[in-house]
Amino acid sequence: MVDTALRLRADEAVPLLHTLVARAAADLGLRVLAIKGPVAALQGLRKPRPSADLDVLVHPRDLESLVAGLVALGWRRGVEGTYASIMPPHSVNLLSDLWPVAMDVHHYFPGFLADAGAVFDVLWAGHELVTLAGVPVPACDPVGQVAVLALHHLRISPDGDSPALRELSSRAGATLSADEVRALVQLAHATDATATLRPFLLALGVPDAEIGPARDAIALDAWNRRVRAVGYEAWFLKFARTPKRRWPRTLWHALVLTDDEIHVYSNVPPGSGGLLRLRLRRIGRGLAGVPRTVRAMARERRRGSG
Amino acid sequence: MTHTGEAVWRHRGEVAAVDSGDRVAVLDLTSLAVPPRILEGPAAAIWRAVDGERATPEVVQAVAQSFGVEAAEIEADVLAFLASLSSAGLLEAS
Repeated sequence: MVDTALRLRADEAVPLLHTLVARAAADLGLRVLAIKGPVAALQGLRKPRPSADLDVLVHPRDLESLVAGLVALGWRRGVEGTYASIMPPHSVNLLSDLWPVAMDVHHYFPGFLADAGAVFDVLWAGHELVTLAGVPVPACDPVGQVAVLALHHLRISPDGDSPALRELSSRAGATLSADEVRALVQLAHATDATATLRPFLLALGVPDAEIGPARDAIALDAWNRRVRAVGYEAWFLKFARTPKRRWPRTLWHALVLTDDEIHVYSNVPPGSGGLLRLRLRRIGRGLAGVPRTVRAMARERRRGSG
Repeated sequence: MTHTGEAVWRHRGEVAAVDSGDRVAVLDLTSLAVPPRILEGPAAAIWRAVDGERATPEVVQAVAQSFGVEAAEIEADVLAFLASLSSAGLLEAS
């Protein structure tokens, strides 16, 4: 009647895993916040839907302690540092053969330009307990959660015109009280995210004069360059930094990735039969995207030298 | 540990559970390296019948009702499973 050979499903695993991380962190005396995923759905900020992974945020000084604690429980570091990314590393990816979902432990969240530890403290100060799998789990409150979700969407669509951001805007408008919108603006100031959140705050009806500029202009410039990077530019940059003799290996890796990486991107378990099909699809998409990326990068180079 | 008579069964406080309707996935928060257990069919019915108020005979009765059988037919199996979940640290009786 109890079958440990039955596969745990993602819709079961994600809430259970949030309780596991919260408990592991509490045992270690660390603070950890559940972000995105089922918490956002419970808060009415996104449609309830199965998540392929889970995200938590930890104070940067506690990152290695928490990761070590989770590794001691059988988790292993995943794709960190093996693939090209335009964003600097902001999370540690963890995998387990016993769980069907990956875990991203964030030590900062891109778009908050203030010191990552200070940002965590601000988000923690407003945290709430949400019930997942029958257990109270510390999570960003709706105000912090909206900021995190908006920055996540703005990273992909910096001008704020994506369907996902429009949906968040509409849900936040319906969910947040006027006081909470004011708290969101205060949070944006405290975490230096006014400029990065600007399109979203404007969509929420916040007057431009209340939003203000970024305090850290250099960090804002870096954010703008990163979020406007095109398609496969990350891989081109990786090639530019790689000795030519290692290009064949890098190209092969770019096209096929490792089993763990494919798992993270697709939620297909390592070793399963679907990997070959996913790899072939990725090769097709990669080759199709090359001309567009080369054109866009040439445009950027001309703009930069002009 | 009492497994019969008037012992009232409850889920242990340090257990997380997701009930999807067709089955229940249960994680023991005091043994985080142990993967969740999946309860299906009668196992899930027994888990749901344990509500912190039912004593052993009521748990047996609730499970029997949900499967449309006589309590006597399943009593031994239910008692054995309650004992097994108790040994695994997922249930407690008092």
